[in-house]
Amino acid sequence: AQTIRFAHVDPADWTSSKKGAAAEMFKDVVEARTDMDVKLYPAGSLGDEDELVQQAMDGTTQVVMVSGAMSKICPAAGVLSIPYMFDSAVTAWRVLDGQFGDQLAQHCLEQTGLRTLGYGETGFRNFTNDVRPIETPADMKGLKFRVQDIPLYVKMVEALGGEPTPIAWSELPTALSTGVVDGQENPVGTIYNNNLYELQDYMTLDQHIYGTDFILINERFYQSLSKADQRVLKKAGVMAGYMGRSIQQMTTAKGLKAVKEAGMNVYKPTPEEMDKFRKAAQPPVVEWLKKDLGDESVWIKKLQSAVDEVEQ
Amino acid sequence: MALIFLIVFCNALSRYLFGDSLAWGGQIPVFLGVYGVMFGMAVAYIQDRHVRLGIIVDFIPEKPKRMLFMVVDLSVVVIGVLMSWSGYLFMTSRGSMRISGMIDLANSLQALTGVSALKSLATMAPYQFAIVLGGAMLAIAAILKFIERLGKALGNEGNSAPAREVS
Amino acid sequence: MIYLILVVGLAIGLPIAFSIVAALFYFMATAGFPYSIQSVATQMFSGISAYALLAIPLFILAGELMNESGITVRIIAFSKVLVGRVRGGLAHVNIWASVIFAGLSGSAVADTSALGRVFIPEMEKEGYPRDFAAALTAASSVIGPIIPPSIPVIIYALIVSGASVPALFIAGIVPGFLLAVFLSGYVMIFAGKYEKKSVAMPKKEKLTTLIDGIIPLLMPVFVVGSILLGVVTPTEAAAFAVAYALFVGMVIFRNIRWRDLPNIFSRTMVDSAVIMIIIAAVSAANWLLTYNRIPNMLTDLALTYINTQWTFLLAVIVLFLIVGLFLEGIAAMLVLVPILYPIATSLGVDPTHFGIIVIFNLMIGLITPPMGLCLFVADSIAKVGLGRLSMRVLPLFLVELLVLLIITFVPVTVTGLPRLLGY
Ligand code: NA
Ligand code: NA
Repeated sequence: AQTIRFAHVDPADWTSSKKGAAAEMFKDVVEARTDMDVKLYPAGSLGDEDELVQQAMDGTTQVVMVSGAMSKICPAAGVLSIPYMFDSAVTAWRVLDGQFGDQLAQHCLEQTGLRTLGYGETGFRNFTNDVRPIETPADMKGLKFRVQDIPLYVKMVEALGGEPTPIAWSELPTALSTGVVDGQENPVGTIYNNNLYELQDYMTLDQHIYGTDFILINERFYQSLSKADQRVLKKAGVMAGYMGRSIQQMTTAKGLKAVKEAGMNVYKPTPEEMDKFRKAAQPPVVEWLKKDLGDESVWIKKLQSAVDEVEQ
Repeated sequence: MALIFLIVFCNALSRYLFGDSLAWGGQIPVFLGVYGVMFGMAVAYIQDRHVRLGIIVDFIPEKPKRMLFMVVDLSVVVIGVLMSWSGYLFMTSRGSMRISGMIDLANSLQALTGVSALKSLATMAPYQFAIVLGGAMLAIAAILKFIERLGKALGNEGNSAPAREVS
Repeated sequence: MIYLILVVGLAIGLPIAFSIVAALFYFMATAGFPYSIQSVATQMFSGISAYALLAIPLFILAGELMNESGITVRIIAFSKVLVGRVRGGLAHVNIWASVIFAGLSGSAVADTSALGRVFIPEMEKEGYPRDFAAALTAASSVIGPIIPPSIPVIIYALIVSGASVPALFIAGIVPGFLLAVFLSGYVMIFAGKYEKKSVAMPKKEKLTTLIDGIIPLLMPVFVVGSILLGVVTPTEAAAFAVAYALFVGMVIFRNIRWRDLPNIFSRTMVDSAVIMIIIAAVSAANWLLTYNRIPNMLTDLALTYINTQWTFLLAVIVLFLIVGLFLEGIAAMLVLVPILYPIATSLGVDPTHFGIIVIFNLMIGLITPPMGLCLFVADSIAKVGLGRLSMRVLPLFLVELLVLLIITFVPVTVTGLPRLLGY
């Protein structure tokens, strides 16, 4: 029987780890319906995300589940990170599970030789800080926010009036507790699981960027399989994506409850305030993205119209 | 080496003093480091500084030992060539991977100089090339070492012949 | 065949890194899809392209600079003032100079070569047998990588994602001092008889010596302090250490001139490359092992036989002592820690405690023949022959083994200080 190696960087425990749960689902479905073996490599044991997508491109590792690394090999996927693009996770799901998701998958397949089997999610990212509640972009003025070392994030925080400071993830707790930065931005689950709420007083559920998980398979490997097996893999990929989304939603809900109980001040901006965030952040980021994507900036329009269609 | 130190140092200092650091300050020193290792690897070979297992070799008398080390030199030539080749495959298949922290720097350098090739600074290829170069340098270092040892071996046997004849 | 290449390579004196790479090339070339030759370069590249690893060349550079600045002489003078009057004075000075030196350098070999040059002739002059002087120098230099800063600690933290460099740095302090105290105890009991007279110094000279000696002592305070305060990462702390050493060497002592710098930098590059290329090769090999789930299998196998913390730790000590006979410390750590660490966690061993045990263990391996780097270096200075030196080192080795057992079975000696400081 053939072996499928499935690698990701999250913990293995399926009850609290989105990618762990997705991988578990994928393994069970594939092993039940085909005579293939699925071996799981969680927690970055085969390398970080950048490594994993490359191994999948070589065919060394057949299936990987990654988030941020995708736009490094298929820049068009970067449009999903346009701030305030999706008003809710459900919108994002419908866009990704609809025509837009299929087209993007096809485009990235041609560009990378990796077939997208399904979309999971790492969730919406939110701002936290230690100085004051943030209700509109005006409240962000002068505050230093730790961001990932990604230009789009830097542009976004700048556009909102904050001061972006790229700092490595491993240094974040120290940077927050010593006041090198005032705030940071992450999904609720991440904020809760890593005890960042102990270092920060205020959270704003502004949901600026929706994080997508991509379940990718090496196309040459995929084509070497029988049509029946391919159908099972496709189905397993979609189900794994759903599983990842569900666990992610659950950890977000649990995390939100817990950080409130821990005394964190959580604010949900009104639709009018959300409009202010969107109007401040989107244009500069879109403009930067247009320059960065060049010919591929049509994907910005495509996403915009897909979102409009779903929201109607 | 000096550059690595300067960038890491200044970046930490600027973050501490101004609360701000450069996006590429974390990337460039790492890649410089890889190049440093590759250069150092070749130089260390010439200086015989690499760590080897000494149990058997240390007890062999001088002359056979030199022969053995000449075999080692030749193996290292092969390994160096393979490394270079493997690095080339690596670079061609994965070199286009983008480095997000470097995009802005590469773009502004390109805008500044007008050289469009500078855009590739934001991809992995120029840094992965270190392995290609390192393998090649190692092979050359091993060839030089081999010639040096050969020269010594021949020199010992030809001691009776007047050295002046050579010039 | 892959093992054959590895063994033959190692046996004929092919450098360790290249032996591993050769075996990997053979495997990748013959195994067919999904393996490919390019994986060797890929995994080597990713093995050394990590920000945290930059601390290694930077700490080596700081050590080189401190050495060039003439600090060695001052450290020795300082130690003389402190412990020179005790019975067996110069031997104690040797040990405690190593403790101070440890705060400057992350490597035991550097310590042996810097202090050995001074102590071996000087101790002989004072009446100690030359082989004993060399043995003591090698044995005490083991303290170097245990007290922070430490290169093995950085490498351990890189392998074990749950371990924190600051916690490990702090955890090494007590075991390092314990080692020095026990060696001093040994000297007091067995070696006091050698020395003709104890070393004394006029009061005024004492004072300036002490002031001069404070300068190197500030370095570890500086490094550990800045990490503790959360101002910097270990890599940045290493860069600060370099800046400090440059300042001391060029401004305070004025022993380093601008034209010395290229030489120091290039020497550091070579010294670091020797370590880093082993890291590159071993991480490529480790990737292949993980890919084939060898560590998981070994873990399962080991857990069927070993099921308590203590038997496991004892087994680890024995294993590392044996491996340390043949393999250089860092290479041994890179090969074995990825396999042993999962077992350690499943038995509930503290990652910091485990790290210090492993590092202590491997550093002792530096003074055991046949593969004992510190022994080689000490012998290259003393020229008494490895055989004689090994005999002299044996009792010191037993003392160090005793300390290892203490820190292993009394975990609070390792984990107490970091816990006190909130790690
Ligand atoms: Na040290
Ligand atoms: Na010493």
